[in-house]
Amino acid sequence: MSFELRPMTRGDIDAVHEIEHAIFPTPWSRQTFAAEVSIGETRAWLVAVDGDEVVGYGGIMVIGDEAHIMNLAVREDARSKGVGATMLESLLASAVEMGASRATLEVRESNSSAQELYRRFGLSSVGVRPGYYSDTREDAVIMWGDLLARDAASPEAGQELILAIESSCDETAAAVMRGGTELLSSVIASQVDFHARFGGVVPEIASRKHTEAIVAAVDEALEQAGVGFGDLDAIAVTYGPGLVGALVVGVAYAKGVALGTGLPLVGVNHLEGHIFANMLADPTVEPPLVALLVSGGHTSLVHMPEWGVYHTLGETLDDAAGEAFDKVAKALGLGYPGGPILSRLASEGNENAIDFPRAMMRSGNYAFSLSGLKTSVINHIRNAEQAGREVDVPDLAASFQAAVVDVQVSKAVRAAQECGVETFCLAGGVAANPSLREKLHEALADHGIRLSVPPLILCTDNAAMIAQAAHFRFMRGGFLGLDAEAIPNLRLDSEA
Amino acid sequence: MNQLTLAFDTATEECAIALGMVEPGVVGVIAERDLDAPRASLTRLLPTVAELLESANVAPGDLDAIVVGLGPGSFTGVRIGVSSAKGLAHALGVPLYGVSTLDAIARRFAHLDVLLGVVGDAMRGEVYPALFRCANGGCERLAPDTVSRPLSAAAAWATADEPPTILAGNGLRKHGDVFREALGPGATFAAEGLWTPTGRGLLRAYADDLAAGRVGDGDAGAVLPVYTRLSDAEETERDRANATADASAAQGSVPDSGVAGPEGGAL
Repeated sequence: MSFELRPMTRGDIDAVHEIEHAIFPTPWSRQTFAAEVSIGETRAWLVAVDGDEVVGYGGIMVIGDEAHIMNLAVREDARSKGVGATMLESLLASAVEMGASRATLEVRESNSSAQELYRRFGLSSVGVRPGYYSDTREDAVIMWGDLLARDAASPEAGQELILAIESSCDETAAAVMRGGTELLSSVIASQVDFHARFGGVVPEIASRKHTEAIVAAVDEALEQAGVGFGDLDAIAVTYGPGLVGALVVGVAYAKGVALGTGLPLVGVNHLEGHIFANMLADPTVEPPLVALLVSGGHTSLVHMPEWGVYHTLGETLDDAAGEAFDKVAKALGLGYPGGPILSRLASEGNENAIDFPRAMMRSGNYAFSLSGLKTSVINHIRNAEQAGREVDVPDLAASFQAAVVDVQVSKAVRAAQECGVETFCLAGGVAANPSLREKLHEALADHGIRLSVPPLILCTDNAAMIAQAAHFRFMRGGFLGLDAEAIPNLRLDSEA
Repeated sequence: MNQLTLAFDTATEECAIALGMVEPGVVGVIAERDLDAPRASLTRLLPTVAELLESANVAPGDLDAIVVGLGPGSFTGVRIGVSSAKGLAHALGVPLYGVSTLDAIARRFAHLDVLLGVVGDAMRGEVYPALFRCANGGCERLAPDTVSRPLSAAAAWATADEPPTILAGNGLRKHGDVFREALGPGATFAAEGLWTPTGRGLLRAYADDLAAGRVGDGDAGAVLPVYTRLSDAEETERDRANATADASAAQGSVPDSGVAGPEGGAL
C-alpha cells in the first residue's frame, strides 16, 4: 500500500463517512463533515488516499493560538502504516501556519495507540473529562502540546530528518540527511572482498552479509549524525530494482523500524537514487536533463523532463556495462571488480589495436547490447592462446573499453540533442571510468551540453543518494505501507 | 520477571506470530496469529503483527522483548523474519532473541511423552532433521540443527538406540516415504496441521531457553539466521577444493555467519 495526502473536498464525504461509521461508536454525520469542509479559514481538513481510495482523514480547528484536533481516523485495514502519523504531521504544520502555538484534543482513555501517537508529537495528558463519551460513559483523556517547541526541534517544513537504507546489491549502506540538503552521515559496509573470488556478486552471500551488517551500519549512521531513532521524521529504503534477496533484507528491516517508531516509510527507486546523486553533489543540477545510468546491474539512458518524471529511452538488452567489464577481467584472470583494473590497464594500451564490434551503434534507437562484445573479447583471448600468441593485455583492455565507451557516448549525445536538454548526468559505478567521463565530456561540450558527474563515492551504491531521493518523495507525500514488497525489476518510468 | 514479548517466524510457508507474557519456563499467550502465507511473508508479516498488537491494545513501545525464529528453513524466508525483527527491536531499543524454528515445532508436542523427530524441508532434496525428547510439558533437544540427505537422516534415526516414535515437519511432504520405510510402523506421522511452527511454540521455546539460561545478550545486530549450509557458490568452491589433492584444508563446519571469507566471515 502507498498513500498520499490532499485537502478534503465535498466529494470525499461519502468515503470519509463510511470509515467514520465503521470505527466510531458515535460517528459524526455527513452534514457535520460537509459543514466543516465548507468553513474554510479556521479549519484544515485532509484525506489520505491510496490511489482513488480514501484510507484516512483528519481535521483541525484553529481558534486564536489554539489548534483543536477534531478528528483523526485511519481505515481499519490501513492502520499501522504511518498514515495517522503522516496526517497528524501535516495537520500540525498547517496549524502553525494558521497561527496556532498550542494543540489540544480529547481521546478515549482506552485508545492507547492513539495516545501513543499524540505523545510522539509532543502532546501530553493533562487530565480527564469523566464520562465524556456518552455512548460508553468512558473518560476522555485531555492532551495538550506546545507546537512552537516542536517547531523549534524541526525548524521549518522541508527540514525533515530521514534515515535511508540501501541493500540492493553488495553494499549495505545507511545515511542520515536533514531537509534534503544536509548530509549528516553516510555509511557503506562493502562486501566486495566476499564476492571477489567468485568474480562477481553472489546473491546468496550478498543477502547474508546484509543481514549481518544492517544493524551496525544504521547504528554508525545514527551515531555519526548525532541523532537517535526518536529524532527521525521518516525512514527510507531502496525497494527496487536489484537482487531480490538483498532488497528483502533492507525492506524488511526498514518496515520493522517503521512499525517500531510509527514513522512514515518512503520507498525509493534505486535508479532515481543514482540520478539524485548528481543533485546531491551539485544542487544546481535540475531537469530537464538526460542521464546515463551505468553500473554492474544497469545500463540505461533516461530522459527526466521535470522533477519525478522519467522516460527510459533505452537500456541494455543483455549484460550491464559493469558486468561486461567484470566478465572480461575474469576471462583475463585480472580479479574483481574488473572495472578499475581494466581501465587502469587500458590507459597504457592502444585503443585502436583490436577492432571490437560496436553493437547497436547505428541501431537508430537507444538500446545497448554488450554480450556480443564480451564474447568477441573472450574469443580473441582464446584464439591467441590456441595460436600460442601472447595477449597484449593493455591493448586488449583499451580496445574493449573504447568499444563500450564509443557506443555509450554516441547514444548519449544523440539522446541529449533529441530531448533538447542542456544538462547531462552520468550516474552509477561505471561513471568512475575516466575514459567514459572524458569522452562524454568532450562530445557533450561540442554541443554546449553540460556534463554532471558525482564524486566517485556517490557514483557507487550508497545511501546518501537514497536519502536525497527520499527527501523529494517525502515532500511529495508518497509513502509505502507495512505490506510493501521488494520489487527486483522496479521500473523508473512509473515513478511520478 | 514477567515480560511482554512478541515472537514471530517466517522460515517456512507459515507466518507464525504470538504476543505473550513470558518469564523463565512460563508463557501466558495474549494473542496469536498463525497464517499460511506461501511466498508472502514479507507482505503479510508486519501488517499482521500491527493488527495483532492493536487488537491486544498494545503499542509497539509497550513491548519488552522480541523473539524471532532463526530457521533452519527457506533462506530468504528466515531473513524476512530476522530482518524485520532486527528493525523492530533496534528501533524500540528492546532485546532481540532467536530460537530455532524446529524447537518451536517441537513445542506442539510438549504435552506428550514421546521421542519426536522433526524433519524440516531444506529444499534441493535435503532435510533439516532434529530429535527431541518431549515429556511433562517440555521438550529437550537431542542434537543441534543440521542438514542432510533424507536417506541418511532416516537411517541414522532407525539405527539409534531409541528411534523417534512421532514425526512432524514440512520435510515429510516430499520425503515422508523415506522415513516411513526406514522407521517402519514404530513411528507415527503427526497430523499435517501440526508440522508447522506456531507463535505460541516460539514463546514456549524462548521461555525454556530463559529457564535454562541459554539466551544471548539481546543484541539485535548479533542475532543471525541458522543456515546449516554455505551459499551454493561456496559449496561448489569447497567441493572443488575437496576434489583436489589437499582435501582437508577446505573442510570444516559452516562459520557462524554462514559465509566463509576473509577474517573468518566477519564483515
